[in-house]
Parts: sequence; structure tokens; C-alpha cells
Amino acid sequence: MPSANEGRTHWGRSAVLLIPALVALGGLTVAIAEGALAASFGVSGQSFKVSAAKVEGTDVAAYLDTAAGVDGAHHPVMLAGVGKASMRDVCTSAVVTVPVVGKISLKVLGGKTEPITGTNVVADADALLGGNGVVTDVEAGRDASTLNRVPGVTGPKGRFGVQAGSLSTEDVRSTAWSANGGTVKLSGGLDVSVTAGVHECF
Amino acid sequence: MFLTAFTDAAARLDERLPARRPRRAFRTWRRTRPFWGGIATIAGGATILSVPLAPLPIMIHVGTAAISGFAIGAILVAAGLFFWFAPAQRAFIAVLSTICALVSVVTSNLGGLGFGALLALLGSAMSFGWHPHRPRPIVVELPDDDIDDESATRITEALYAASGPPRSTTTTTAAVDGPRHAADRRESPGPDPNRSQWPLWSDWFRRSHAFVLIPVMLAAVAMPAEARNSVPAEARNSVPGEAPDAAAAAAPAAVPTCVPVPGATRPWWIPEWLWLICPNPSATPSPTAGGTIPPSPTPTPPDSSGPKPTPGPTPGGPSGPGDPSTSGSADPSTGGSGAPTVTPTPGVTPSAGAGLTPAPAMAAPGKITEIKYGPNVPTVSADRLFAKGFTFKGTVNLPTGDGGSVKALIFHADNLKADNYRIGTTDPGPKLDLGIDLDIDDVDIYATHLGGKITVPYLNIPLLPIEITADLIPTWLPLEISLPLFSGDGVKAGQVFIRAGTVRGSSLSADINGAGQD
Repeated sequence: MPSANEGRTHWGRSAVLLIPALVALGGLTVAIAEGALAASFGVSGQSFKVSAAKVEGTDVAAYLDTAAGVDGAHHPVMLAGVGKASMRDVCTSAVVTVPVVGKISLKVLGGKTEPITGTNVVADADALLGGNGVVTDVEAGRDASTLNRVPGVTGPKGRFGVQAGSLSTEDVRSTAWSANGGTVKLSGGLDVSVTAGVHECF
Repeated sequence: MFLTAFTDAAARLDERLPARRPRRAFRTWRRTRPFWGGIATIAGGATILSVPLAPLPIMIHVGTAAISGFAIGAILVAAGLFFWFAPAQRAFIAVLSTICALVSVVTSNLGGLGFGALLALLGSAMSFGWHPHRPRPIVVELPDDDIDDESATRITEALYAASGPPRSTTTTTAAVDGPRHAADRRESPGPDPNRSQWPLWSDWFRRSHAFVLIPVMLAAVAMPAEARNSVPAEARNSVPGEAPDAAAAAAPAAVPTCVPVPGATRPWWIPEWLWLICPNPSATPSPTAGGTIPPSPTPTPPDSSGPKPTPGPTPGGPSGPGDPSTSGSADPSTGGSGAPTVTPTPGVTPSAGAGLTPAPAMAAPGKITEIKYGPNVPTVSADRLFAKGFTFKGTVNLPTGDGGSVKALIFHADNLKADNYRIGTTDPGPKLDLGIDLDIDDVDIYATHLGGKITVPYLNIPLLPIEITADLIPTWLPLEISLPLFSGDGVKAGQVFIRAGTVRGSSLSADINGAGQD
């Protein structure tokens, strides 16, 4: 015997909230995709690959650290922070193993026509390949606790640290465990694809 | 039809499955609240949370952005739980969680890569649209809405008509309406006689509320976006050199404040007068956004080199070139009598410094001992080293981060090319192994030792292998050995520190290995 308090979702009523919300969502998405609005990103606990045709940055600091993965293991990484970064032709891919379904690849392409820019980008990388690059005002071998180029990027005492005034590199490929952008502007379109199987950037 | 077949099958299944009573109890519980809306909202919040859940230190590095992303996921999960356990407040919670879901698109990985935000929006809307079947006025609606006098009297009339004077609204009508509701369901699916005009009126009332909600929501969504840009701008004031950019970022962000839907035409359900209001408020937020700009230029100009450049008479200190002259020049300011009292600071450096001829290329020699260096000296090697304007300048004691010091040889080169330069760090824990072909201008190298086969440039005639160690050379020994050209094969060194103006590299490959500790 159904009681009087039982009810159901009345979709007409729901639409009153849902439709404007979806319109706003569309507006936000357009604003972010066009770079009018800076979004914040952060991923971690999962190894992913990043490649970029060109990376430029001012104020770079890095030190050796460990990153925790979802598997609970601690992975040795280089924690690098960039005060201001811009990247062209960026590809990011992560492969996630979903129960039952199997392996699923998430791939995000961006920065094709205009570079993606970000401030206070911090990433944990455990492998890095690069083509030609120029770095200025390098200080390699500073104690990680005395790094002062990027606010917040200061390591424990007694660790190897590097910092530089500016950086410009081509054909960067990196495997990273976490990346956080304080603010990231996605310009020049964004292409997100989710596919079954393993489809990585490199 | 299909639906009846489905319900029949469900009924049969219900007969056969075990634990009827708990299932019934759960079903009743589930049907008396926006259960599925709550599930979707919780799932959305969990999705948003699961994507960015960074280790806490990194979240702190990034600051407000990461934390707010985390907070929004948590709010959405809490909202879903509220739908379940406090269904009476669903309308307010739904609006709140809708706004949070929209904000998450900006703050948190596009709202959990889109999925989280969509789930949370759907769940919130479902919960917003949920209401009990029949006795709308009676059950839960009364407390959570402003109902004016007119509709209140209508409600009272309806209650009187249905059940006589109500003692307590909820219980009375629940008792009265329960059976009737069941009867209605079987007999008359059409318009309910009990449902007079007032529910329609109430519907209209509610929808008009929603129309007010729309602009409020749009504004709420646009404002955090702007706040996000202006607040970090202030927060980043402490960051030298960044503030102008942050201010520049805040300015364009003011544009979407009231035009969150670029190019969108007015939907039919928004009255024209409401749509037109929009451009006007957009004028007001921009001054506030501009208000955040003035503080931005306040930070001091970027101080790119060194931690604390202490200009003035003090810098000479350790290893300053020409110590006698600096101490002499500093003293007159304090008075003539001060001159004899100033003794060179006891330590190794002054005498060594006296021997050093002023080296303009070397970046501020006074600063080199003010920085702390890694105590575990990395080992470096290069297949082939080729240097122009190479100078060996003796040794210096460099302080390390753990309070000790490392004695290092000082080299300078106007240009240095290294083929297959490799550096391996020796810290406990994570280790860097990096290889690169280098071409460096204006470089100072501080090394514990340096060894290799010196070759005569261009002729490739190997000479004796040499090995220099810092420990063998006292810091006070005045040294200035210059070689216009220098090249070596199989060079190995303990590299404490490198400071370089411009580094050009190619074929970089770096790996970080070693057992992670903690």
C-alpha cells in the first residue's frame, strides 16, 4: 500500500531547473573552450602521458620527490613548477582500466591554433624527453629547500633542486603522475575523446 | 502494454525474491524521497572528487583552485545525502547543488571531465522536480516555500473540505489521503476532483519562482568565475612579476559576467524584460574587477637572481674580490676611527678572495655562499667537453642545505659544449638520471672533483689523464688559470652547482628512478 508521502520526479518541474542549468553549462563550456575563461585542472594518482610541440615557461623550479599513486605505491618523480607556461599542440592521454569494460583511453588534444596558457602549473613527472631547448638563468644543484623561483615549489632539505628563469623546449614528451594548473586557459579548441582500448599520445 | 508487462514481471519477481519485508521497507523509504536524484548527485560529486584528488602537498602548492575543486565535490555529495535524509529541503538544496555543479566546470577539471557536472545537474533537477504524488500541500511543501495569504487560505479550505479542521497538517492528511490516493490510482487516472484550482495556482507560483531563479543562477555562475580570476590576482600579489598578467587575466574574465551564453537567443521561457536586464548589471561588475587591478602592481619588481641580494657595503664578506678595498671604503661612512677596528672576518675566504682578480663574468661572487646547496653531490659525466675561455679559480666552501658544507673547485667558461652530458643525483630516495647534449654560455661550475683526458683541441691527441680534487687545494690559494681553449674526453666530475646564463640543449632524456621513500 503506497503511502501518501510517496512521490516521483515530475520532469516538467525538473526542466525548470535543468534547462537553464544546461544553457549555463553550454555557455561556460564555450567560454572555456575559447579561452575567455580560465579553468583549473588537477589530475593525479594515475600515470598519464603528455606531449607538446612546444613548451615555453618563465620561472621554473624543480626538485626530486615522491608521488603517491592510487595503487598506494610511492613513485619517484621530479616535481616541477612553472610560474607561467604556454604550450602548443598538447596531447594528454590516460589509460584507465574499468572493471568489466576493460581498458579505456581518455585523450585530450588542445592548443592547435593558439597555445594553452597557464599560471602556477605544478606537475610530477617521472620521465621526460625533449628536443631542442633553451633555458636561461639556470641554477642546478640548489638545495630543494631554498628554491625561490616559483612560490610554493620548495622541497625538503637536502634534496637536489634546479631552477631557471625561463625555458623553451620543442617536442616534449613526458610521463607524469599528477598535474595541477592554478589557472589554465584553453585556447584554440579542445578535442576530448574517450575510446575503448589503448590509444595514447606516444 | 509494455509497461504493464513490466510491472507484472516486477510483481512476480517481488513474490519470489527473498527478504520481502526489508525490501518493502527500503522501497517505501526510496519512494518517499528523491532517491534517484540523490544517487545521481552523489555520483556526480564523487566523479568530480575522484578526478583531481591530488596529494595534499600539491593541492597546497596550487592553493585555492585545487581546494575549491575539492570542496565542490564534497558539497555535491553532501547535497545528495540531503536529498535522501532531508527531502523537505530539496528545492533549495537542488538550486545550490546546480550552481555548484556549474562552478565545478571552472574549478575542477571541467567538472570531472564533464561527466560529474552532468550527473550532478541531472540529479539536482530530478530532485527539484520530485514531489509527492497527491497531497501536495499537506506533506512537505508547506514549510519550504513562501506561500502568500491567498494560497494559504485556499490550502486551509482544501484541508477543511477533505478532512475537517486539521490538527496537524502532515499527519492528518496523510491518514486521510492514504486510502483515497490508492482508490484514485485504480479508478480515476484522470483529473482528481480533490485537486481543485489551488495546486495549479501553486504550480504557477512555483514556476514564477523558478523564473526568478534563472537570472539568479546565471549571475551566480558567472560571478564565481570572475571571483576566481580576481581573488587569485590578489593572492598572487606576492609573486613578483606575475601580478600584471593576473590583472590582465581578470579584465577579460569580466566580460562573460552577464553574457554567459555567447550568441544565445532568448529562450521562450525567459521574459524579455528579464533578458534585457542582463547587460546592465554587467556594467557594474567590471569596476569591481578593475578594483582588483590597482593592488597588483604593488609587488616589487621581479628579483630574479639569488635569494636575498644584500646590496650595500656588506656584500664582500666571503670571497669578495678585493676585500681590502671594500672594507676600506665601507669604513669612512662609520667614521675614521672605525677603520683600524675592522678586522677581516675570520675564515678561509678573505685570503682566497684577495687572490682572485675581479671576474666580471662570474655572477656576483658574494652571493655564491649565501645560497644553500644539495649535500649529496650529483655525479656528472660527458663523452666530450669543449670549452672556450676556460678559467680555474681555486676552491670555495659552499654551505649545504643540511647545515654542512662542501668544498668545491670553481670553474668558469665563456662557452661550454658537452656531448652526452649525464647527471645522476645521489640523494637517498628518488634519483634523477638525465642525459642531454649541452651548449652553454657564461657558465660557473662548482665541482668537488674533475677528471678526464685533456686533449689538444683540433688535433685529438690525448694527453695524460688528470684528476683534480677540491680537497687538495686550500681555499686561500690564489689561483687564476686561464685557458683560451680546453677540451677533454671522458670527463667525470662531482657537480655541486652550475649557474649558467643560457643553456641550449638537445636530445634531452630524463628518468626518475629509485625507491620511493616515506
